[in-house]
Amino acid sequence: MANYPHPILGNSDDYNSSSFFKLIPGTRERTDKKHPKGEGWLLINDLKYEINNKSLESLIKEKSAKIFCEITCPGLSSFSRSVELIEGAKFEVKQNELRGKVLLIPRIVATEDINDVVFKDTNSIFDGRKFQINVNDLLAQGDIKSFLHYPPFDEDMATEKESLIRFGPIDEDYVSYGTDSNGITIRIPKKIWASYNRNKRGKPSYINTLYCVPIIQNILRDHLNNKISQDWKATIQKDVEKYELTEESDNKELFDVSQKIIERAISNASYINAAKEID
Amino acid sequence: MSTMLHKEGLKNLENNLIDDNELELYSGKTIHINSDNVYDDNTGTIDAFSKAQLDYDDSKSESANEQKNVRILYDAVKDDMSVGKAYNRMLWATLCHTVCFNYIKKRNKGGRHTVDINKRIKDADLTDSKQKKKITALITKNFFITTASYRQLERNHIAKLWLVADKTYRCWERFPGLEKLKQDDSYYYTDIALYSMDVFQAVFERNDKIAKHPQILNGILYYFSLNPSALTKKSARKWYQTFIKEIVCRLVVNPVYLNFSLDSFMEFLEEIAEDISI
Repeated sequence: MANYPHPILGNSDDYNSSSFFKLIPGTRERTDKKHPKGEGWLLINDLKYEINNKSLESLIKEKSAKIFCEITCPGLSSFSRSVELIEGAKFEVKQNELRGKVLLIPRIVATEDINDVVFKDTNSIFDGRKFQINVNDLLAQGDIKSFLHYPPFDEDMATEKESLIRFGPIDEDYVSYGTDSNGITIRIPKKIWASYNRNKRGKPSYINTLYCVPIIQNILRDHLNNKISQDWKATIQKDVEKYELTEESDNKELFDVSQKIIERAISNASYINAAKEID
Repeated sequence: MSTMLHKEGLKNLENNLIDDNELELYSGKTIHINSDNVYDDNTGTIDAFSKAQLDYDDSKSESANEQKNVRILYDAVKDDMSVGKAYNRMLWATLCHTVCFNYIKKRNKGGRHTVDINKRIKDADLTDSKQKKKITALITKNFFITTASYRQLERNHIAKLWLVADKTYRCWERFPGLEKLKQDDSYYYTDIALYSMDVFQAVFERNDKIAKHPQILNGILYYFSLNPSALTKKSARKWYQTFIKEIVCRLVVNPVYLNFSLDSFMEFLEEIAEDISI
């Protein structure tokens, strides 16, 4: 980090002690229509920070500096928003605005011109030196936190050809499923087919939870009992190994794992791409 | 309902480019996509793009054409598009091979581009590996997005129109701190961003730091609207290129976008303008 025209404090630069400024990212929440702003929002609640530097603490107390969290998506190189880290700070964004790795960068900036600032606990080269700070000058940057985010509605733009799981209508009054060389086909009664399609567009996670979780649970059981012979069983086997399932695994374990698989599919569309894994 | 390329379909289309006959098809009026390569797009995105009747008028400048077409395109698709969808290579490849196939060709004849794609393909000796490589590159560049990246979106003639409008359309309503920028024309700042191809490159392409921050981007466009000579004066190009380079440098230590206020940003720009001695 450049020391221009004053030190910009970082946990590994210009500062003597460890971890003087850190972001506590809070909880992440995905919303659908229950959110007042409509469907498909990502909320990061309760963003907090910890700071341990007298000079900066007093600048913040005097309102000469503020702490912000910049939320940026380097993969897109086209998204950046910031939120001031005050008590109960939260960040809201439409889920489709973000994709891939999301960075949370805590920063402290001056809110006014400040004369003759002396930074404490810094490298000895700054000892006793006075700095002239201008409004909006960057004073410190904490460690960057990150997480992965994929919009749940990605699957609107994916292809059913790539998915292990496909849906189709049937005349019967009950939901059923079958397997073939292409994967798993879930059959939905024709009388609720229209409702299924509405939910598929608006609430794909609802479809995943309602239909896919119990069926993946059955598929895992069938696989453990060597009842699946198609090529795509390699994809199922990966999850069996990953989650350490065995023939002894009970229904609760299978249910928990199938939920995790669906959760992962919602967050990074892995099962949407599962067919590719067995190419 | 319209159809869209799926991942495998896109791969097939790209792989087809090794075939001379497939390359020649790009000189036709339309190009046929095999039904095995597409699926029904029930999101309405392709349908929305189909409503945008883009046209390129050779007698007008590239900027004038893009300023006209950006309105047609964004008015049609703004409610059905998102950043998430924009980073889908299949979407742009579908558009470039279907509803925008002829626009892409006409667009390539505009301005500095004197490329008549049809003629180049027809005149090329595809048995010559060098010529074939050039034609393949020409088609790849114009009809595909090779990686789902911001840079590729800027370079594709259709994606670019969506991108520039998405950052500037009614910015005073969509981004905090820009309320003062309100204009009667929803595309007022879009037009400034497309004032010339070089201005677009300066604010969107040469450095992604500007377009990444909508307040910074639209603040600069607002500054240009208040100081039109910045874009029109003699040596304007050199001036605004230096101006933007200086802004990007200062943002590293002076991230004005964090605690953004339009007034202080205008002062920040004035200060930089005074410091530039061109």
